[in-house]
Amino acid sequence: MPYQFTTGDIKSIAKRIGLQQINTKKWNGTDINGNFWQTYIHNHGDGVPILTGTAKQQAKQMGFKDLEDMYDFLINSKRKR
Amino acid sequence: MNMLEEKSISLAKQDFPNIVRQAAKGHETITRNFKSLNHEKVSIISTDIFEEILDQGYKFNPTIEEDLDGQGYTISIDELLIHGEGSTLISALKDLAENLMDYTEDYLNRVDFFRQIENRKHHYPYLRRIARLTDIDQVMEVIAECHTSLQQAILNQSQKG
Repeated sequence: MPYQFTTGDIKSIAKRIGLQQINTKKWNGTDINGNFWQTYIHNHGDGVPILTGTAKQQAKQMGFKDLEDMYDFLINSKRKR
Repeated sequence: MNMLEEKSISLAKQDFPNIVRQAAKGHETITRNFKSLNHEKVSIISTDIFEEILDQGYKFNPTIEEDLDGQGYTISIDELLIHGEGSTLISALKDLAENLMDYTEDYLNRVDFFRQIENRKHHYPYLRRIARLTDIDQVMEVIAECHTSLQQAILNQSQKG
């Protein structure tokens, strides 16, 4: 099943795992377990869909197993990663 | 059998000009800090040889993914957990090169921090290769060195002027 994310979705995920925006597109930070994560989010506008390949990379860079895992985290607001 | 010369810091200090001359000729000297707990070792080696080792052993392996809806390209370097994107291949490569230069600067400024992070400590040699480059065009060429599609994209771009 293909998963579609918007820029707003990725920003929301990044914030929930403790990343901060460092410059126009770089976000990074250390989560509660002490792991450092870094990803790049282009500011196309919150409703704009993310490229498929970019979403896959962002999932890896934020420590998710795959797109399905990141999607599950997005829709389950109580999930702690 | 140990074929590498090892000296204490105090001996190395006394002989430093000679060690540098020898290093420039290709000889490596290892200095050991016997006063530290870990007896840390540091190699004094020719920069040319060091960079040759990096150039041969740490080549970039970028992966291109075209968007399912044809909206653009994502180019990633999995070994460095980094990517770039753009509506064309060349714009995605340029974005990746910008991100890589930014990461290199940050990494080398905070190398002691990044060297403690399990999934980032091995990034150093790749980023050290990038650190000596002077502009984004050179960075794009190094990223593309093992990828013919990216080399072609750079060539097409340069022919357009």
